[in-house]
Amino acid sequence: MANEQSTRDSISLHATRSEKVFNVCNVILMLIIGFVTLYPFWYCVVVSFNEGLDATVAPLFFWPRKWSLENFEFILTNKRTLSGFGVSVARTVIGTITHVLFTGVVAYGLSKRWIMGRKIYMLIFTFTMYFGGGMIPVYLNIQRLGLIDNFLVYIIPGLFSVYDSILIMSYYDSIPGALEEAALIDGAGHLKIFLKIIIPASMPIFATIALFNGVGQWNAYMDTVIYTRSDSLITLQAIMTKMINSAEALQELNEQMAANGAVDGFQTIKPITVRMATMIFTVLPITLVYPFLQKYFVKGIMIGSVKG
Amino acid sequence: MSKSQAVHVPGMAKKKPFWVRFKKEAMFHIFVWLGLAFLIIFAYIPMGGIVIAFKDYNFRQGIWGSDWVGLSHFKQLFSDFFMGNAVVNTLGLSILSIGLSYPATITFTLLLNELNNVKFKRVIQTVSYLPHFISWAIMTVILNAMLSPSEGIINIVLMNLGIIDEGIAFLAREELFWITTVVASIWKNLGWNTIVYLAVIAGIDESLYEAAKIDGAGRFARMWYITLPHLVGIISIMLILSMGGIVNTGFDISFYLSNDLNYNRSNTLAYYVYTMGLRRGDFSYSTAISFLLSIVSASMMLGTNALSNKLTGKGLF
Amino acid sequence: MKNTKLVKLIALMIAIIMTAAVFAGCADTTTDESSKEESKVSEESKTEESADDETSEDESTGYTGEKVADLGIPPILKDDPDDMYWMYNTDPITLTVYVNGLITDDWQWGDDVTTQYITERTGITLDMEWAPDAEGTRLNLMLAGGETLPDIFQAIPPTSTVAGELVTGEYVLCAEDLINEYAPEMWDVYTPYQKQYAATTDDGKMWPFLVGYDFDGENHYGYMHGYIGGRGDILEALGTKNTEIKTIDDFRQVLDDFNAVWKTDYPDIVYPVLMRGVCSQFSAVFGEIGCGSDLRYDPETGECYFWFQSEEGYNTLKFYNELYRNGYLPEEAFITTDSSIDLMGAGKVLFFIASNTWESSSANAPVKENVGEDAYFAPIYPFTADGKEILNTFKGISYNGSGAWVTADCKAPDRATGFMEYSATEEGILTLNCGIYGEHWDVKTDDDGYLYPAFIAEEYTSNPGSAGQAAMKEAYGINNHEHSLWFGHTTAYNFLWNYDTIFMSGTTNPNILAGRSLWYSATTDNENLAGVTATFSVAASSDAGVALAALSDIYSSELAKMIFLNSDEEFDAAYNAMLDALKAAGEDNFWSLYEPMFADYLAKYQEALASK
Repeated sequence: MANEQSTRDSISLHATRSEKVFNVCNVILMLIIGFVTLYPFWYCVVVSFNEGLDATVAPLFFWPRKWSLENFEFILTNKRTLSGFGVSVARTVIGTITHVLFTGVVAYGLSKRWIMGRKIYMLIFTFTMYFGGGMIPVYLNIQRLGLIDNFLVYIIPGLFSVYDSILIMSYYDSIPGALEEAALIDGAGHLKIFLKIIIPASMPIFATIALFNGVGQWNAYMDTVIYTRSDSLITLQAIMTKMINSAEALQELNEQMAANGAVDGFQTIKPITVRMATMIFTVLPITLVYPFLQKYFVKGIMIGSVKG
Repeated sequence: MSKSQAVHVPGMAKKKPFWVRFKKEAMFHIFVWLGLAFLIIFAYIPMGGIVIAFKDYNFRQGIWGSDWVGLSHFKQLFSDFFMGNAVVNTLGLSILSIGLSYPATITFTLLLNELNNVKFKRVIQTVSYLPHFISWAIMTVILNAMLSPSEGIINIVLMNLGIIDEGIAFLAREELFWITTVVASIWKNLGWNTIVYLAVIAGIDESLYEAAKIDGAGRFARMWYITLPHLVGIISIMLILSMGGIVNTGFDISFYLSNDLNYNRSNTLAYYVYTMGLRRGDFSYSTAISFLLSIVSASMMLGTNALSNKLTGKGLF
Repeated sequence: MKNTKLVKLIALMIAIIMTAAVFAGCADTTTDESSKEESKVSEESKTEESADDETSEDESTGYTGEKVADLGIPPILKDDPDDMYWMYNTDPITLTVYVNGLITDDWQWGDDVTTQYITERTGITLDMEWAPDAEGTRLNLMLAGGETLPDIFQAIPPTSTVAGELVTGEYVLCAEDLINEYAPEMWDVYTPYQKQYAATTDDGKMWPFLVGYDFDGENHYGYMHGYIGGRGDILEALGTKNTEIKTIDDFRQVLDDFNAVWKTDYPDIVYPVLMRGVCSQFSAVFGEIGCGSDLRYDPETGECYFWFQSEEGYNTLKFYNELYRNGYLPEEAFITTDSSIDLMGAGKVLFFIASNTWESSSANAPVKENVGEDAYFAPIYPFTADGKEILNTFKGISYNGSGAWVTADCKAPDRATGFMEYSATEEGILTLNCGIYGEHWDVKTDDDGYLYPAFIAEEYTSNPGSAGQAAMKEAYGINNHEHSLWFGHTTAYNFLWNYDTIFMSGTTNPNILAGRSLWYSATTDNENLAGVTATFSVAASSDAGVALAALSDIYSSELAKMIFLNSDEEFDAAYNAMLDALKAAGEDNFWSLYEPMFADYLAKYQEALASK
């Protein structure tokens, strides 16, 4: 970080007037973009802290009108919330790390365009991105593998992704061959090269894939619905989606009953505010984790290793 | 047959006998076979189920017991009345979407990269990807609120600026549907899409920039001659993959934002196929359609790949 | 070139391995499934055998064994038989149930006194599992994956697409057969139309246990089915009342009066008329029959048609267009995602037009909260365009999305049938919906001498109305719709509508009550066959169903757009274009498929009517 800054400073002595103008305009533009992209999210935060019924009456803007924690209470007062949280964390951490390593190493092999049959490998791999058997054959397959109602169903089927391997391969292309050459001359095996050189050099892309995959693991919900039965395997996201569905089911039910002549006590919980509260829960961990990943998106990693 | 060589030199590979070469490359093949094994188990075995597309699938009889019906599902598909409309909408929406979002994303990435203050850059980056997590279910509510002819911000601002007299019901007008949803999508995904590009930029050798600055290259020159060329590879790959995804465009958008008034333009292939499958309750029919769409996707991807190879020398294969 | 050969060899090897893998994978599945088939077949034949034994006994000596239970309540509106199957066996048993609906909390059978009481009475406990999502995924996978099925499937309507699969795939037993074998008295508990209505399968049998209700014109207080609800307080301020709007010109007048003071006195109103989509039933105002289906039947010509193809239908559409052009029906009404109750409750609506405006009474509570104590919604007197007294509405059988099936894997189909029988009796229905007789509710007589059930528990009497009803629910678990205990649900309304305003609906608003009794006098009974299409539905997956879906895609969109056009010429052009488009999309083909099916149904319906 410091390097970058001082380098820029020393060069900026030569900054022209037009560059200064550009900088100012850029900052203003970024502020506008920042505000525009932040606002819908802020809007959701505001609504989630607002009482459901009140939220439907008139638009909210920058602050809750009728403060209420009932939306959060609604999604959290489920006896499985705590264990669900644990399950979600476990699958996200374990699943993401294994996915990145597994996909990364396969991609390393694939990235060597000169190996025999590489074109065929690529065909076999990318074919699977477009053709699949559909929900039922996949389900039957998972069933036969004994992964139904098993924690590993969150990990094993997620070990590899062709799409991610393509992105990683593309990044590997930018790693100077000289690094590997040097290590080979020193007598290192390919696996060791992968672990000691490739992984550190690829942190930006690994961090990216980890982020994408981590988000996917954290938000995953369908696999819980389809492949698990026990309460001990329910994830936080499944609980929350269930709560949204029940709020909607309840609303639909009340409306249906109203249509049939039964006027029920009206409820102040509304599905939409529950959805927003749920979304906050989903996003919060990611916004907390992302700053730690951001340091990998930094320039200048290569300089030292090559020059040395 | 030449003897094996001690040091592996890639250019010389073709002259070696099979097993010698293989021994040298063995580790890499093993790496690849890990992925291969995975795909055989999790992708290729269930793939046999594609035969459902040519059968009249019945739960009880199972995949192999159900009757063959050949191409009848496909024939039915082509005689569906709204298919043509769905195809047109999907193509229009995709082209517009790709045409606007790629330039927007890349421009944003480059501009973001030019920010001097690192803290500010991080903040903007974090804030910009937040809308990605807003599901379309919520996005619909937000859009409805913002685009409402009577109470929505957009209309209020436009009316105050004197541009229009009455509120426009954006979501009621079929001619405005595409542009409205494309802008909404860009808004939603802009920040998230830049992450990959920023990762690539992070890998660019800083010394290149230094050298350029010393040579007197201005900001735009540096972007044009250094940053962009490094991004070309990843951009082409993303584009190729996007092309393969065109047939699936617009499912969420149609699901949440289509209504009777804009149906002519909001009816997309992915959504239409989904409702057809749901209505008929017919797995074979859905599988047949998925299969057909997969063929289209794969062809588009291969086509774009070939094009990319010709134009930039880079591609997936 | 050696290399090319080698590459080809590798490619061939890989292809062979992959193909082998594919076949290996699928071969396993076959053996699994075929062995399952065998074991299922033997199970079914076992059940049939034992059933045969029982049937022969039943035929000769009536129910066998000792009667261990009796009717628990005196007859209120129907006379259930003294001898029913469930009364002969109350041994404790737990039946597993899969409910194809969502649950809204952690409830389970037995958590409240009502379900405990039912277990006491019948010996049956239900172990219920609900769907994890709204798409029916779990059910589909349960069927496809060859798992052992639970004893009972609940909440699968007979018109759903999976219902067809259940029958043809032999996943379920036929309710009609089960009733005939175990509980023949149960037919006396059902109403005549239910059997007909449930017969949507090719063999004409009733496969699911349905609950439904019918209107036979003998109900004391009929069913409120008005098309317009309105803000009573605003009407009063304008110098009129909900019961004084008697013709369509009166309606137009009120709107114009409102328009004069709209922006000044009622700026919060966004929708002078809120209609969420094109309401086909409103054509009754213009002289057609009010009927829930888009398809109508003309008894004079014997032909079927779409509601908008008649003159009355056209006039209805023109009226909607008029509302739009006068500024009373904004486009936003068709696209907003807010619920009607929310919009009305927020004070944004003056009139609400729908095929059934009870949602407007549901908005009473929130509108008082948000606008003020004086605000309220009341039904508008059902008027006609030409001022005639009678508004035609078809009151046919209707059912509420429920359908209970006994599966082929059921361990005790006789007990399952017994449970269905119990829940269709008056005792079963009223217990599920109102609680324990004598403790929570009692039977009273109204001023006209009619019997009706009334809450007597403290929770209700201290706080009559919706709040009291909610308290009863909380305390005793009655009226358990949230948990899909629809076994006796809809049939209950048949009885409760006989005096339901205070009891079930919990409202005491006199304007609503007044509107209801006026309505009843304005409707006809269901001998007008023009509306019978409302009770006949084609399966969505059938050829007719698919053809209809394609047509409805077209007209749903075109009708909506037509309403928001700005001139008569444009409107007529669009109307005719739509009719042409329907023809081009295969309308004639649809009719050729639909009409024979409908004719069959009509014959059965008339038979049932005659035998009543």
